[in-house]
Amino acid sequence: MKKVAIYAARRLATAAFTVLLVSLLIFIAFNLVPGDPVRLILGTEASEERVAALRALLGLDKSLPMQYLGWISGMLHGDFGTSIKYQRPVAELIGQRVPVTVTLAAFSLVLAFAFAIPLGILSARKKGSISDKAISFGSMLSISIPGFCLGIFVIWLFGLKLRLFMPGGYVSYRTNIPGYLNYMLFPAIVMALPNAAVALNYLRSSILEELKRNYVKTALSKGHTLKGALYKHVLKNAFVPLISLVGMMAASAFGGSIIIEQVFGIPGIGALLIGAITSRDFPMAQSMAACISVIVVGSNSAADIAIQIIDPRIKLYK
Amino acid sequence: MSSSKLLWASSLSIGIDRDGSYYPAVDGIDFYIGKGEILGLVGESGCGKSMTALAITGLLPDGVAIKKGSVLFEGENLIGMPEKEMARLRGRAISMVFQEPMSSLNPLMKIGKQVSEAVRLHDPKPKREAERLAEAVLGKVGLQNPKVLMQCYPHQLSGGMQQRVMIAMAIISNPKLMIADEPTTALDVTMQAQILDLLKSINQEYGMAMLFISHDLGVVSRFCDRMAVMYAGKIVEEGTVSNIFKHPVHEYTRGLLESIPRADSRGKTLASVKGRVPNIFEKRMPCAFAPRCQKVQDRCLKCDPPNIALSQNHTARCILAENESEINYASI
Repeated sequence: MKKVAIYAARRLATAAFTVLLVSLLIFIAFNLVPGDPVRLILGTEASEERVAALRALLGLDKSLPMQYLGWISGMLHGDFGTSIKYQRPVAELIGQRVPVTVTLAAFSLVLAFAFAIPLGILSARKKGSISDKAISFGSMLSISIPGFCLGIFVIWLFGLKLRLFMPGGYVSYRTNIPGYLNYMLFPAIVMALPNAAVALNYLRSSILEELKRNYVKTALSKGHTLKGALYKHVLKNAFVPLISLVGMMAASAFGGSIIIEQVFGIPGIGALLIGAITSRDFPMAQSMAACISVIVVGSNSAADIAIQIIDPRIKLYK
Repeated sequence: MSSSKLLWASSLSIGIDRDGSYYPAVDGIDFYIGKGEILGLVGESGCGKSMTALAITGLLPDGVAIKKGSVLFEGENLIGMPEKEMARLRGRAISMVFQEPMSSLNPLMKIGKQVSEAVRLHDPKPKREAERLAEAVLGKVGLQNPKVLMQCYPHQLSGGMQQRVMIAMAIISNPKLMIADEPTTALDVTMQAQILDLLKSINQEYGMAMLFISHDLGVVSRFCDRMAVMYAGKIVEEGTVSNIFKHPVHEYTRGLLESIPRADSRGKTLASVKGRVPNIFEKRMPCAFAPRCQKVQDRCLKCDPPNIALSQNHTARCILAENESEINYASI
């Protein structure tokens, strides 16, 4: 256990360094993007004095390294800057919307694995059977349909035909939690399906690979039935490679919810991010990108640490 | 006679059906293991030894199936036995030890759990009791500090220790037969000797019969009571170890015996059997060994070699064995 703690500490240090590096890249990228936010706000007709004044107000007159340091130290103190477009603190704007996207991402991950685990086990156990083929066809389908198409289909089927939710009638978690969860279930399904398909195939091949290992023969020779050996010995081994997949999916669920949020009219961070980029709202876009990078790096690190805890053999002291 | 036989395989054939053709891996073999006896099954890789072992316990890999024959264990036919019944027999009445101890243990499960599970699968003892038993058996197979070991994972143990753990699992339910498939091949020489001593003492103390699979005739000569030599899916010579070592009849057995390093062969080139075992997809001669045999005759390529009894405890499947008169082993 102590070893795991040391590993976790090192992993988190690496993660912090990675995030710092990413923040630098984000900062450089946004400063390379053509388009001057000041001109965008004031229009091309504005006088030079007004432009200079606004520049000073926004801190854009300072040198780039100073701007970067100012941004980073602000972030570390919880000050994410002020949105140029909304004229309100970025932290407040993001804070309102993050819970929505987090719910969506978490919900979709839980659903993805709720589909993937039983179906993955089933298709591995009945390899080559009709049900295996049906599952593989279904997963192929859910990977190949673009998210927005699937979204529209879900809206049509569950919203308009079955009337299980009101399309476009987003319910805020502040007013009605059951209503909110009910509404979020459907976009979460749309997001979950492709992930479920990927996880399912991963799990299936992982189980089939593990079943060939010698320890399975040992388990059987001790008196396990194939089913017993599968559940008591194979599954835990088969899940190990799946954990890093969970990490990657958690990260991509967060960044990938933008389209689904648009299709379902959900006020998550997606719309905010698109707005920030199109209106050259640099403080906003920059801080949001940094937040997403923290989540991506964080969930991958968490997955690595979880693998350490589960598999005693892997020791990545890096 | 039959009451002293623990396991009795007759005309056992195992093979692969592929693209409408049948390829035999084991071709109609007969053998028995007496109660408390150690039978050595020897031959080069690919002769069908492991397939025979796996067929007995119903653990043949996918695509490989028993074509015909029977395997009676205490009078009950194991072939065609339902999976659940077979599972009840495995570990409790027939246990197995495999060649590679490292990969044969579950890497993510503590030793204690793996060993005590072997008990609990057959005997619904409380967990604590099964663990106490596991600890005792781990001590019994010569492992130091069994209490600490119980909390270890397989990768923390050496190969020899892992094989002792495998043996502990194989004896904990006190089965009547242990099938050991090349149990010492993956170990270094000193460890090999220790593991063999351990198995021998288990055989003597518990009267546990063993099917000992090996390609090492030197080991077989020291360890087994009887032996069967397999070549290309057939048993070519069978008998007591002393009879066969005193008077090997089949050219294959002779070749194997000559390739054992001896003290007096120091400095000389070690003999080897030229050629290789045909793989199971190759077409075979009536006597599969004919292409490698130094005394091959025209007849060997035309008709199946007969199985000739040279004495009560010695048979050979070779045309040349016809010329052997009743052998007086004592005079040799």
